[in-house]
Amino acid sequence: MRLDPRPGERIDRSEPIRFTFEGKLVEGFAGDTIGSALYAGGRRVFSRSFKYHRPRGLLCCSGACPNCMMEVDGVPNVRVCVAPAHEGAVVKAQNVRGSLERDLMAATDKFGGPFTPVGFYYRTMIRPRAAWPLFEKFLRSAAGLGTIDKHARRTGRYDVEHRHADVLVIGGGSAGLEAARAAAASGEHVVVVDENAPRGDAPGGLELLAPATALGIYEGGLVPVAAGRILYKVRAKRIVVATGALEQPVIFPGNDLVGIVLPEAVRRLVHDFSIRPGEKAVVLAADDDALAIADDLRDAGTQVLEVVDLRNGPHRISASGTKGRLNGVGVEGVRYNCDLVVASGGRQPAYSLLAQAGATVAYDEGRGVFVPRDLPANVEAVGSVTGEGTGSIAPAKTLLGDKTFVCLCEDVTEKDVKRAIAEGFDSIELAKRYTTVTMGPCQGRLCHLASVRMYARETKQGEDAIGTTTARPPWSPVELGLLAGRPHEPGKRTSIHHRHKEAGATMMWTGSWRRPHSYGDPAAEARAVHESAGLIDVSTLGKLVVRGPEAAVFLERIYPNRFADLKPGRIRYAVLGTDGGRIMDDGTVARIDDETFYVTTTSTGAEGVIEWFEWWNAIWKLDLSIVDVTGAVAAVNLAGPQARELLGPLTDVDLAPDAFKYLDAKQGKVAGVPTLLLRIGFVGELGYELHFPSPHGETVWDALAATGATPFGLEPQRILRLEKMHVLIGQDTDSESNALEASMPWIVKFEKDEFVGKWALEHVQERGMRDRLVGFEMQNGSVPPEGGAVVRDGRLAGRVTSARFSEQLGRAIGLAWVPEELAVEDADITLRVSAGLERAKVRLRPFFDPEGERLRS
Amino acid sequence: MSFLLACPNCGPRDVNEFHCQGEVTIRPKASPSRRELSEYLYFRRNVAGVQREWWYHRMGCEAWFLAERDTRTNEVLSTELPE
Amino acid sequence: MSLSLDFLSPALGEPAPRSPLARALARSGIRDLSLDYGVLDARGDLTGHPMEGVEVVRLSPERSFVLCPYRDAPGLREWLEGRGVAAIDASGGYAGLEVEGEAVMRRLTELPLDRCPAVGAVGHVATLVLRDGDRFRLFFRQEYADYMGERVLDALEGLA
Repeated sequence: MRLDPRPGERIDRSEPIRFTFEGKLVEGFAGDTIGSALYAGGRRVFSRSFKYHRPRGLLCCSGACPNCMMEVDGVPNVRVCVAPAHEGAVVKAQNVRGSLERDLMAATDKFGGPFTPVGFYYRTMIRPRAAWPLFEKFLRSAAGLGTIDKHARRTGRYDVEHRHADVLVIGGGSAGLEAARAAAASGEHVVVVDENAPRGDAPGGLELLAPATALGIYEGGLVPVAAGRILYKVRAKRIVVATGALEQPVIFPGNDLVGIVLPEAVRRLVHDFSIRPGEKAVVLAADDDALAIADDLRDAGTQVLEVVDLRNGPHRISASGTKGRLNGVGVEGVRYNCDLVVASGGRQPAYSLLAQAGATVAYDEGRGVFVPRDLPANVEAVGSVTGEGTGSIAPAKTLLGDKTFVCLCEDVTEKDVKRAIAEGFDSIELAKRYTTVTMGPCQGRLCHLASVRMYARETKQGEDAIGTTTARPPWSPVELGLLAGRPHEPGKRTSIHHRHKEAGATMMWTGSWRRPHSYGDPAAEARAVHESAGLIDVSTLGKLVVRGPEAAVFLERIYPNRFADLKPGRIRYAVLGTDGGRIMDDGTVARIDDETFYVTTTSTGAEGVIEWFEWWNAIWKLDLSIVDVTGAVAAVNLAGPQARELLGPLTDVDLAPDAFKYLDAKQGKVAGVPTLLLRIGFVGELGYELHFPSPHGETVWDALAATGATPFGLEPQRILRLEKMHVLIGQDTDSESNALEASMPWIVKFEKDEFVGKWALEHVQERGMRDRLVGFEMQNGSVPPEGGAVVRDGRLAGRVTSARFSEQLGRAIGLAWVPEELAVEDADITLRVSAGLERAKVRLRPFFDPEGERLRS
Repeated sequence: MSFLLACPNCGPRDVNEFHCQGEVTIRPKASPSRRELSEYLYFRRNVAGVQREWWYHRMGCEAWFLAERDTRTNEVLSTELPE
Repeated sequence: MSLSLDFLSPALGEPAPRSPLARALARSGIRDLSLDYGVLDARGDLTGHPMEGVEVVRLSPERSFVLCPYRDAPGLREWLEGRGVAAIDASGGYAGLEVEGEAVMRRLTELPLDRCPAVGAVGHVATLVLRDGDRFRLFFRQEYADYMGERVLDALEGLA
């Protein structure tokens, strides 16, 4: 019940707030949490436990324990004891079938059966195997906390914001604020993170993030801080951890009954929300602060029946209740009828963030708690997290009774822990995984110390020998939406992208680029290239200018083929290899002048090639510069027998066959735009690759499209290049492929003194070829799957890397890796197609226009 | 990983702005034997401790530099542009 | 006819260049700088070459970005080359926009905003950031124009 107005209360009685719980109206005030409003309205049962579905009520009232988790506005697992009440909130109980008072699943508590013991899922429901689908269905619905709407759409925003600070103070208690003030006074920029809603303004000179939770301390002083729907990524030079200490529950039979609370719950209910926590209370405590809670209770009108100082030796304690609610507690044989027990086994430093940051954790024999030691650089600890003023007592003497809970999150009892030890799980890390103690929502806040103690006692070792489990982030549960942030992906688009969309292209990802797969009819698009002319946007090609007195020397060294003898105005195909002789990329090199080369790379390999070039020159230090102009230059390939006549009217460049030959580079204007024209033929027809400044992308494309050339996408391009047996790096080659076995021996100039990969390729040549990349032609029309098997004598002998049906050729063709001895024109090979095997003939020369007459025309 | 790396050109930045090329290796001078080549290509010291590495600042100045990093702690002891 | 690198210079084209950000920023009120600035990617020592109306951002001892009026890029490039500085006209490669306020920048980048100009990750994309008081000019590769436009507008919406 609500007390008369009190000084310092957080609630504003002039501003009522109304929300619903399970459809019923709940009234509270501004400043209330959902939990405090419910408690003031008389609700005591807040949840049903994870495994046994036992009634649970407020325990910590400070966001540490799992007892008050509810679904709020569709979001599961909200700790309502700290979630601010807001008008119109829709609050529901979770982990319940029926109601909180009558939960059908509570049978698991009464009858136990296969669900009771720890580790049951490792042992039971294994047989009969056929029944597993049934078991699984049941288990899946019974397991987990809360439910999520699988069809829910993103609601609202989650944002990420970056912050830099000289000092980040985690914890806004007295020690934290003192440290913050001192740092601010010396002129440092200080950010303070506190879990509680701020009271009034932040102290001068400090930036306060509250209510907010520091989720972890990462390398480089990075601390992600969850504050509602914003994740602050704070980068601090110095981090001060002032997370304080956590009140520890007392372990005794019936210790999970509704009405058994930690002192902090009383402090908050009374002082923040002006609520009388109960009518009759017993206080069991192990430190002066907690013992003093009796005064707060009396102040709130609660009758205090007894105050027991647990430091005076072990006590026999056991609580009893009806329907899960406390009705009395026995201490050393004396029974007190009460509805409230405030029990505290002392305070354990909240060291998790420090441990996770790299501090070691040691058992402090004197205080009976674990304390952080050997803090990492730039991380400090102040206040009770250091152990100062903390202490904890050993658990109460064990009484018989199996409802002694060590871990409330996962419903693990003392009996379960003993059983795990008896089964041989004698290391705390193993026991954690087996029993799941500390793995629930409280992340060990209320169960870690108790479980370590129990282990120590049962295995007759000291707590220091048992040690602690590894602390890992996040320190508090965090919404996945917060980690996901905004739904943007840095995709690249060419300057002509929107023209493709307008033309109805189906777009696809190639690396981080968006490219047209086709404009609706790949076969027709390929046909247009063969019969008239096609137009494809190849702006995604990597493009770099290599320039300087030693540019030619550089290219000679980095590529296996020759470039020193390449004449200005000429183009050469280039395959880039690693020092291991593996193919990493391919493209073309055009010589602009003596000292300038224009290099193209594959679309997805561009960034890697540029890094590769820069890296080698960081070592060689040749006099040249490498400039990435990938985005600066748009490129369009106009290809087909009519390419010349269509392009002619748009350009001042002489396109006559004898003036502009195959593998010539020319410059001029196309549609008024300065353009480098490269006569190359990836798709096997007469073609001009036009390179011009990106801001003119649409202009040039529009002009070319207006000539009647048919836009074609990547899929028709793949058919066309396959007809020419042109290799697609990364599709037909992998990280093991070398140029010799990829059937490009002419690219490797062993006579050069040196080039990257020379030594490895010499070794390949010495040992002889093992596999070869060859063409194949299916004997019937079926198209084998890419990645499909080449089969010989019933065994895997190679694999298909590309396969398409070519309308132009009227048959299915492809490329495959086969054993060297099968790399012979007309050799018979067998390929797996669907379930069966199909025959194919090996081809070593291009399927289409093997003499290259069309692209030279 | 979120450690900071001081780019010799740009100053300290989050490690995700960079690409690590791995430990510095020594390329054979003249035509190596098969064994020497294999060692150069495939064998790494992979030390648990301080190692010299190549890094590339792909989100910044696009320069390669060398860093000394403790592989156990990700502490970066020094960075420098190649000589 | 011998070849040159003229095909890199959008300002040499007769038709009007189009901004890669035109669609993304349409009706947004965000200032599109893409066609205001020419960008030269210069290698060499620029200190001995005082240039008016030009901003030089040094990336490394060898490399600088030179920002100039869009139309001036080809001429400036020639001028620099005449003085032994290797420069490439990268104007077509960069899109630019201007945003106001540290708040939106904090939603986009971890870069220390008191240390501009700088090149670093903004919205996960390498970006040149120039700061004038509370205004930030961002230049990034034009292929990210749609993405960055969307990203910046979204960040502003989140703050509204």
